[in-house]
Amino acid sequence: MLDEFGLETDAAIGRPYHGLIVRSDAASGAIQAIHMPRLPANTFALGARDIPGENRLELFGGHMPLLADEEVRYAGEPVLLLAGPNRDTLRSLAERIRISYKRQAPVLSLYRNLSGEPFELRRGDAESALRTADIVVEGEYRVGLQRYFHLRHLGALAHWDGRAVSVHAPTPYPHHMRAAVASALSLPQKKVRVVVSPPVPSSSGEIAELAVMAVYAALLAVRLENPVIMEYNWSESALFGPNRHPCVIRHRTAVSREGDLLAAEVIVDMDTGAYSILSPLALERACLSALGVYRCGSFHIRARLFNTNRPPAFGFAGLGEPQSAFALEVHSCKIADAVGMDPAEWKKRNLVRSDEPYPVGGKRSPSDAAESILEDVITRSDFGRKFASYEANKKSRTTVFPAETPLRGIGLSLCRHGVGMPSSYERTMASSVKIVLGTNKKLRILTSLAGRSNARLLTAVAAEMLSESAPDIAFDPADTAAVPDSGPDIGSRSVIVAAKLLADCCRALNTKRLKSVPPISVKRTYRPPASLDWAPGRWKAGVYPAYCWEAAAVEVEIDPVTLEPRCTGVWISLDAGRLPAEEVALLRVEEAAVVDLGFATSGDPDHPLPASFRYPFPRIQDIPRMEISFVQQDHPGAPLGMKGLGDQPVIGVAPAYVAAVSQAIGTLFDRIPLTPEAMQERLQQLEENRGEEDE
Amino acid sequence: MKLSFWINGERVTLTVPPTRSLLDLVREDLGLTGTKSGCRSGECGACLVLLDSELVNACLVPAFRVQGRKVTTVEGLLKDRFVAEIKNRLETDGLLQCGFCESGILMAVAYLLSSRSVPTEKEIREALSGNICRCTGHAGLVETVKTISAVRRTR
Repeated sequence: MLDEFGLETDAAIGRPYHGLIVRSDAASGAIQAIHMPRLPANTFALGARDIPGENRLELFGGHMPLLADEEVRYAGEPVLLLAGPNRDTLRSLAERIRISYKRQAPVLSLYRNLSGEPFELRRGDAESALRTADIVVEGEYRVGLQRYFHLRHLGALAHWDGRAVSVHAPTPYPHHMRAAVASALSLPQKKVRVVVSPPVPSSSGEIAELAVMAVYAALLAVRLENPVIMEYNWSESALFGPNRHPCVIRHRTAVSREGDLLAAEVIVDMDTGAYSILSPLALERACLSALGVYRCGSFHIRARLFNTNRPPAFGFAGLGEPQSAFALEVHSCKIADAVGMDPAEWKKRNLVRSDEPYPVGGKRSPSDAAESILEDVITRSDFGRKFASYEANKKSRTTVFPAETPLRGIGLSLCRHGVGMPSSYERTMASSVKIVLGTNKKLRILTSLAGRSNARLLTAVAAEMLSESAPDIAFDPADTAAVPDSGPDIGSRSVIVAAKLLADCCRALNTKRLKSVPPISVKRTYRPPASLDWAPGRWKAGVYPAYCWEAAAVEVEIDPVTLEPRCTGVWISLDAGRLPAEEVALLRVEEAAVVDLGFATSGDPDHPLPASFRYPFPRIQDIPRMEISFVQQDHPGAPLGMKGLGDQPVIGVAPAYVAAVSQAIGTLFDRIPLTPEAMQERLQQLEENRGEEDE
Repeated sequence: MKLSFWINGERVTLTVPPTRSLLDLVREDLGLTGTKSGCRSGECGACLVLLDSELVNACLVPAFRVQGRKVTTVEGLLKDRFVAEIKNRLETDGLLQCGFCESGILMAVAYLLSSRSVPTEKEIREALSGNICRCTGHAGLVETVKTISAVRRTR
């Protein structure tokens, strides 16, 4: 049963009980005792020792416990689950549970607890090149904690019929959820069924978050023999839901006097939080995009994960790419400045050319419109003229605290986004799509990818492929008992994998129906092409099936007294291949740009949010003027020439914003969030340094 | 505490705890789940309802305030053909993805258009400033509201 807006957790299957998580109030320590009050009738508590199967969630090479057992590693870590018919009773019960700990001092910043082996990519002799280079540019860039901030509550509803468990949840990866529930309950997978309830989020972090909720709901439903709803509220979602890995990224770059990037040394240090779920994938993606879109003869990229006593990062949209893009794009401003070039000219000079190899793997597709989108943004924002004017203002200033009104700056970025999963991960999955043409001429599409945008996309593909006799198209419910595993719905995989499989199915159907009569069914399973066989050292092999490209320019005005910035313009141009519905893509890009701007300007990585926090992103009346355009070129080999927007369509607004603010103020800022307080602090520091020099 | 009030045109009488919010009254006691429980602090606009003719965040209104008054939720509002048209237009224009903000945005747009038949862009942005959407952009929403009001004007 769904309500009129399709929210499964609003539904009532019988009278579901509510689940509630009892969380640790210690950030680090050993659990010594749990003192339980007397439980009312029909109310149950469940701890780690009550889990019949594995107390462990695995995803993409990472893992974490479902419930803390002997130790806790972050404040808010789930220790117990409660379930009962009345949520208010559960809340008051949770307040009366006393957990005693042998507390330890928590580690809340990097460099104490190295987690696992460092990930390393090395090509050529970067060290020698750096020793002998004309110019070496160094910089350290920091990306703070970024929280996803779901508006809606994520939840899962589980039901046990005495033999099997069924879970309803808006998951982007139902077959992973099925495996997670089966593992925790020690049940064979055939006794677990996951039904995807729309609306479906499409973010890697939510795969883990929702899987944990599904496991909790299922554990409680089996124990109570009653349906159970497990739901995060707004605060829980913000504090313990997906957040991006905070990173410190150091660049040391050898550059010729002409501005050519010769060699690079990059160190990526990533805070994974208390557990490393999804972090190995995020780390690999951060390394793969550390040198972005620029040519580089030799490099040494080292990346390390550190555990801290914060909630697990989970990560979301972009998984490592946004952090790397921020560091590289701000660093490229520093390089351009060091060689006396306009950043736009430096980017054009060093951009990997069409059909040329990328430094870290694969080569640039001739269909990628990198130059066109860059030129488009430069022209529309009038970047060259504005940059030169603001640069002249900056250089004519004689004081650290500038006096003219207002201060102006403009920044530029050029990024690419890997579409789908890196080939090293894609090869471990076997994603399938099935179609059935019925006797009623109706085409059923069977895929585990649900949601409105996927339905729109796949309908367009089927209609195109079967154009001569387009049948009625319907989707079977995304139910693990009925549809094949199409893999995770992240990073535009639905475009690059599911749409391709559907196109292959339709081609086969067109052939089959010449010889057979309906019902006809066709199933296809995705195998990455042989050219996508990347591994460290296999530099010629491709990493992603495609890249979406993004160029962004941001212009700011800053009040010289308060240092309050105001965005006066945002220009974005994207190459996401052919777009079946440009107006829908436009909406998604605009929202992603607003959020990227929010990450650049607000939030505080060093301070956890209080219970009554405010929404951190610009609201409708605060959104600056945005001009978004697409350069549409067919991507060869993909159905309808599409590439997709990738996991996060906009990651270049944050570095372009920081570059703009840096130019306006006259000093390069190297971190986000960049708040007026941080600007003030930096200027104060510069003035003190200048005072010391004068003395 | 016993409460008597009108909900979407029907008179109801309920006994609820004195600390109940209008949001919980609507969702949990009356089962009208179109009104969403978002931030529960007046930030997100997912729980907008009409109290008499005033647009309020149901999470911030104590239930006892509804005594003898008229409450209209999205379910009641959708009985109006024009509001149903607004919903269809939002959907057609791709502005509804996960759908969580949908009822709040519908309430805000309908409320705006009930008082301003041809609102300016500034008025539209102000009217929607209490609503949050994490899926789609805002420029499209402004354009859609302009289109709806223009279409209505031509009728």
